[in-house]
Amino acid sequence: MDFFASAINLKEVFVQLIAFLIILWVLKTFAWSKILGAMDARRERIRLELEKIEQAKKEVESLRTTYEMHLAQIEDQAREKLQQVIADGKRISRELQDEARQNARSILDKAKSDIELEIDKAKASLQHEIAGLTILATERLLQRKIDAAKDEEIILDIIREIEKQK
Amino acid sequence: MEETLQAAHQIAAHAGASHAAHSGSHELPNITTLLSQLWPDSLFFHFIHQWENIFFCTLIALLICLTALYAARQKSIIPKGIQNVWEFIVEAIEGFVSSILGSHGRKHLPFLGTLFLYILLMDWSGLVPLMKSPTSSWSTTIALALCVMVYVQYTGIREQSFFSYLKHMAGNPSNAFGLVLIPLMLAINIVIEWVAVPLSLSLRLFANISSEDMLLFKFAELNVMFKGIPFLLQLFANLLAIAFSFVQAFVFMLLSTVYISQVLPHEDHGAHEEKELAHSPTTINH
Repeated sequence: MDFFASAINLKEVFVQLIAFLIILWVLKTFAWSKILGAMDARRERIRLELEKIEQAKKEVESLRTTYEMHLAQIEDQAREKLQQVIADGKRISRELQDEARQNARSILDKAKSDIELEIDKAKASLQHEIAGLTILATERLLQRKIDAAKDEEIILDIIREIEKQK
Repeated sequence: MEETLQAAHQIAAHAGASHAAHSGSHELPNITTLLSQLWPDSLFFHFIHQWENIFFCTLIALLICLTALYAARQKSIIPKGIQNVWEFIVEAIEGFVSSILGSHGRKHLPFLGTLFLYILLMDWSGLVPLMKSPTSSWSTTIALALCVMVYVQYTGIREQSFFSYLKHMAGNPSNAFGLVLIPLMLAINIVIEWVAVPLSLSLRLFANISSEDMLLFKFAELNVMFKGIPFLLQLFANLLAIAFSFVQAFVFMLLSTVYISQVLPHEDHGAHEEKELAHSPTTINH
């Protein structure tokens, strides 16, 4: 007991008790709760911010998917339009070719008919000339005057027969 | 050799023997010792010297309170400086206490955290030149241990109800044999929880810190005797004292936490880890 009595100062124990209770009250009232509150608030804020970031990430991902989908649609549309333009071009080209071919054919036909007409004209002219020459030659051979119209008719008949025989 | 020893004792006597004579221990001189020696007729310095433990406790309490209040006033989202240090301390202690007490941890955090910081700074203050560890006095440690004992018993009554608390103190009798043993269990539990707990807590802290201070004093004596040659030994002793002081403060808080966990309602100790930790104090106590 002497050891306890010498080692423990009751007054000091009492003052230490009071001192600890005071520091405990001060810290509990003004420090611990506020620091914990601030930490909780920060933790909550960080949690919310992280949630927002996650939400924003999801939105960005969704937007990216939508954008990619739109891009694919646009590419499809562009491809379709391009193919349509190519088809139109081909069709127009084909139409132009047909038209040109038709024009060429009509020009050719016209040229043919013109040529035939000219040939016919030339033939007719040639027949007349031949007839004239033949009459002249016949007159000279026969040394007599024959009716010109009748002679020409006879000669033309002869020529036609010759042509038919050919 | 004997002359050297005598010289060393004389220096030691000048340095701290008067204080040692007062407190019955061998410690390095502190500012109150020097002031009372410089002005021996001053009643004020004599008074401070007489109540040196209270004086240093007050300084430490002021340091804790002022820094804590400053940190609590800071509203910075990104903590720095004192706010950062305090938040680190609070988070660390909360994590530790909650790992034992679970959801009850936060409720007891102010008491346990204050206890830990107060003891830690009191332990470390003995390493600061011209200061003293108030925990090297049994009066200080028994006061803190009594606080713990009262707090634990109060928590037990509040959490379990008074009847359950009495039942717990009577050894939770469940049959006739248990009823017969009630007086014995009551006596044992009262001795353990009201006497052994504060005694073991206070004596462990007091003995460790006072022996650390004594060790530092002896190394200082050796340095004076051998003109600084064992300085590295003293440096090593200082490092050890820093570590051991932290351990002692931690053990004090750990045991207090465990005592609180033992008086909490048992259904609250569901987690496996908590069960393990709840059993660990028994080993530490023994």
